[in-house]
Amino acid sequence: MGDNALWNMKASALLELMTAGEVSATEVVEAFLDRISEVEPKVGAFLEVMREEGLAQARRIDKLRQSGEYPGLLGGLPVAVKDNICVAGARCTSGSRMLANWIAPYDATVVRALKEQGAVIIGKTNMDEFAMGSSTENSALGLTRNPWDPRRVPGGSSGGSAAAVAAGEVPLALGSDTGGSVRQPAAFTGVTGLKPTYGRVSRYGLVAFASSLDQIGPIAADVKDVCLLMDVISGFDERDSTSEDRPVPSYSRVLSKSARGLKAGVPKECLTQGVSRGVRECFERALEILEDLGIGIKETSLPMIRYALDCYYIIAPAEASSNLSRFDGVRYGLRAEAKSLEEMYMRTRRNFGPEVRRRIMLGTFALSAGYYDAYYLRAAKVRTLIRRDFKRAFEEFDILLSPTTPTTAFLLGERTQDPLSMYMADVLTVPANLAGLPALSVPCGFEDVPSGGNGEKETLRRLPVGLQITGRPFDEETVLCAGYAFYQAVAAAVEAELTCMRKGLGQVG
Amino acid sequence: MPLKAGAGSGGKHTPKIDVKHVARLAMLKLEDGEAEKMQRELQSILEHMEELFSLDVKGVEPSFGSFDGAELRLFPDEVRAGLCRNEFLRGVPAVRDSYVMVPRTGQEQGSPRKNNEIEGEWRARDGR
Amino acid sequence: MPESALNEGRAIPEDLEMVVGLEVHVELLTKSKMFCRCSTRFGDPPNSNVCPVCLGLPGSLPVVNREAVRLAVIAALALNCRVNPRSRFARKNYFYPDLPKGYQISQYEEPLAVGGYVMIPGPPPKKIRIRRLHLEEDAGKSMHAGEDITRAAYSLLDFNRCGVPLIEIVSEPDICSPEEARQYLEELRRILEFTGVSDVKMEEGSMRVDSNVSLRRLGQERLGALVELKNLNSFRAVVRALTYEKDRQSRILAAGGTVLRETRGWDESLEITVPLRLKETSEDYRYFPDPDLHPLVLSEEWLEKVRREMPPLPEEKRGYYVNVLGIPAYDAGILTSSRKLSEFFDECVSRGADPKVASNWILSELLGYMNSRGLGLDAIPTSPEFLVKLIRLIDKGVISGRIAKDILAKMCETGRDPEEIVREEGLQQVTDEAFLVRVIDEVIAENPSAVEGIKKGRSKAIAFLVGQVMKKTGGRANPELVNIIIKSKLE
Repeated sequence: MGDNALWNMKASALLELMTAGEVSATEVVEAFLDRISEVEPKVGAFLEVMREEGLAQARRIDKLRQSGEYPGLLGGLPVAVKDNICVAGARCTSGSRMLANWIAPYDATVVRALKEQGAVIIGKTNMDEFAMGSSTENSALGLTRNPWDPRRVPGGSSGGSAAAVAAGEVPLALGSDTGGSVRQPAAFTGVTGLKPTYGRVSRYGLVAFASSLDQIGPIAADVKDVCLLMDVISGFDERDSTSEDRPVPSYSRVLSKSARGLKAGVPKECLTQGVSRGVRECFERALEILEDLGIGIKETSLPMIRYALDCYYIIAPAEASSNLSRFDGVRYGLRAEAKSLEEMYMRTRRNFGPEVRRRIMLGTFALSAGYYDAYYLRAAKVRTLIRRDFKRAFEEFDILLSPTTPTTAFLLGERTQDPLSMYMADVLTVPANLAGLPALSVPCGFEDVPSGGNGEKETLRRLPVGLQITGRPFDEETVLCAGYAFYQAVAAAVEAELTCMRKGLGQVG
Repeated sequence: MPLKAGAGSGGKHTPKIDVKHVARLAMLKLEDGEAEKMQRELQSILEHMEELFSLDVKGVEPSFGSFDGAELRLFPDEVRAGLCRNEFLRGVPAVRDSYVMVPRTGQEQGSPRKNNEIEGEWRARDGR
Repeated sequence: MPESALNEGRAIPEDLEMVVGLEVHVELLTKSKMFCRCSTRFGDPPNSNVCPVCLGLPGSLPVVNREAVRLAVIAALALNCRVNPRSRFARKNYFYPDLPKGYQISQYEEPLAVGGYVMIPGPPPKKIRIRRLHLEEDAGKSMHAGEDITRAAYSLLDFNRCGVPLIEIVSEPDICSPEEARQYLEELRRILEFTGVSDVKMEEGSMRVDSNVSLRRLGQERLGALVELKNLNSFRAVVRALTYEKDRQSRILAAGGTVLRETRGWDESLEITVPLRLKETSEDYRYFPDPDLHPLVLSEEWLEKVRREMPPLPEEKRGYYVNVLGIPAYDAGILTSSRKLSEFFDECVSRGADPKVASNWILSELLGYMNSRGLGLDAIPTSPEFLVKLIRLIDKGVISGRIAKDILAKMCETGRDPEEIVREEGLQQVTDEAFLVRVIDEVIAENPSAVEGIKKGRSKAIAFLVGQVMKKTGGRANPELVNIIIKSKLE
């Protein structure tokens, strides 16, 4: 085991090896399955590992290659899928007891695209129940730990997908991002995650949390691998009326473009939001690096984003309260036996976890007679104001920069008793969802925090920090281009730490 | 950002939530004690949103989606195969003769659309 | 005063007037559902026309059926509504087992169309205004199983109808009597059937009616308490229920009572309305714009195209029949009472039949046959093609008008070709003079008194003899020819 282990390689490198015939898809998939067996007890990223299906698909890909056929853009690459995305024939739990045994009878559009492009789906990853949370602690079905520090959360809600990529259990993963659920865990685990523009990627087959905010997004070790997934999952889908029918560029190709001359704005409001010292220092260093790359950086202001979190915590629960009404025990999922219909509803819906119940209550209230105007409608209007702010900023700037999260990964249990403190983890990521904008989190450094062992010698833990790059609607290209340029500058340092962490994870004890 | 973790300030805009009523609407059952806790939590979340009310939103168009000027796309009226019946019924908690079975409502005439229902005796087909 | 006298004897105060508004749900005639591409076919096995979307499976999303929008726009235009260039789908949230998503996708604050009207014939003719017309999806069907000792009561659900496109047409409270309500519904049904929007079959549930009823003193604006009536599954039920309600509410008011604001259902068997106990929470539907569907924006060009291609309305057709084809107004009214009948007539005309002749055959014979047997046009196996053939056979003198009536009855029973019936049953008119002379000679020999009469100049006697010849030939003799031969023999 070492730096050259297959599981420590990025998707792009694995693809080259497979294309060159130096390694088979079966070997690649086996390497990751072995890695999963090895580290999963410490990470807990997966709710289900699809060993047999994965190996069968890998063998199919190998056969295609042997017979000289093109196995697709992702031919043979293992991909993990967040457990709120339907894979036909596999359980799709959304991290909930409500769907603990529900087998999806159809493929999500993104899953179909993955399969068509030769991806090997090797598992479903853990998540906060119905994607409601920022730590994956709201999963009813398992605990996921941050590979960088097992006492800490991996972030959420796509914590399983991010942790799996960080731990070297899979090179590529899909998450979903409603208020930061791809970017925040990517930042907490030192990997790269993109929330695409609303409408860029089909939501068909994604268990809905808040329909006007949800987007599926890729998580991978670097920007190049994120592009690889984006090339496969982007584009119009006739099954999703909110997906946009407009040309999709080849994202992998835009990486050769120069980022020099781009204009970047730094909203001053983003640094006053309880941002920790370590995060701020990393962010400031990142700005220096970007300037060295020839990106012009200027402070700007988005005055309305101070209202973004409030706005989000009205709109998202309101939509969720309606989206989660279908979990009534009638047609699928869990049903509690009862003598009357009403009793069956109530007893079935008691299986929602506390955070889900809280948000259903909040959202139901915000839509209820007498409060709709004051809460839901007002929030929808504030959303307009927030979007106007971004629109104005993008008249001047090509991209906007901020830390992805105010802090690095917090401790397990640290925020579970105080919903508001948990909500704060999303403070820098929700604006992009409200405005429907593409936003990337890319590793930009580390914050050293005391490890705080029980009576043991005090050492420092390195926890990753994410840089968030937000772009204009449907301009993922510029965001990815800037992110790639930036990451090239820090890759050596970041990846050295990553490899070191991964090795440590594999060691017994 | 107006939200700060901690106790609410008891703002003037925040109404007292009738959690029992809201729970009924949401078809959630709150056990004793749970209602008070829920009340406290929701109240504190709403109180932290007070600052929203200081914004003047008069004349502002609401955004219900994520971008401006989006228009609905319409699709041709062509029948396509859906789920086969077995595929669907396999996942249903209780099935009888290809129907989905649920306990009858305790408030029998409570349907807002009762005229869409077939009233009448249903007899199980005798399999023997 | 005995109670029966109170209930039956006391007159309803004459200055009370009914105020009725109707909410009519109509299923649109599409092949596939409103938000998915499952079939809308009626009568398929339970739960066979379903998919992740109409079952509300996790992760599924709605996509809008263009034809449903087109039909709804046609309905709106036919009902003189203003079509909103921009409307929006909204979610109506409530829990019911036949509603898979826990919400119905409907339209709320921004409906498809507003401000229309329907003219009812009266007398006197009256304009019933339409407040709004919007698109929505149907729910599934619940069957309630009966209780017995061994089994707990339960409901059985079939989701085949779930997601079938509906329009809801809401009238203003302009209707003042059960008869006006019936006329309004008849007009609606005719217009929607004519324009191909719906097959408007109440018995299959493709047209459903809810009603708001209140009373007011004549000429006063203020409405009394509103009673909502549900379960009105036939036009007859609407009329009976409204009549009952007027009576019920009047008695309450006459006795100095107060009419409660409530929802009542029509009990078909008891012929009374009974209060429905509604869940206390069911009133708060928490409508909000459906985030899965962008606003529905209809371009002026598209609307213009729909308008241009719209099938003619009954009034337009009636005018054409009267002014261009020369059909009497009353007959034209009957011909346009249903789309199928008028299409039957149109096809006869387009196949070359004389409009007036075709109209007479349809109105007197075809409708007579249908009415006497209580059948609809659908149940009659014959076609315009065959009716036109029948008319041609008369024109050419192959058969007599009398025989033709019998043949039409046979056509209606069997669907056979009239030419075939004539051929196989030997019903052609006899024009063979030698044969006719033989028969006439027999008749003359058998009826000496009639022959005397003719010689005395009694013309009725000729008719008698012609009748006798027709009788002997089973109606097949050409009556004109017989007439000529008899005259030449006796005069």
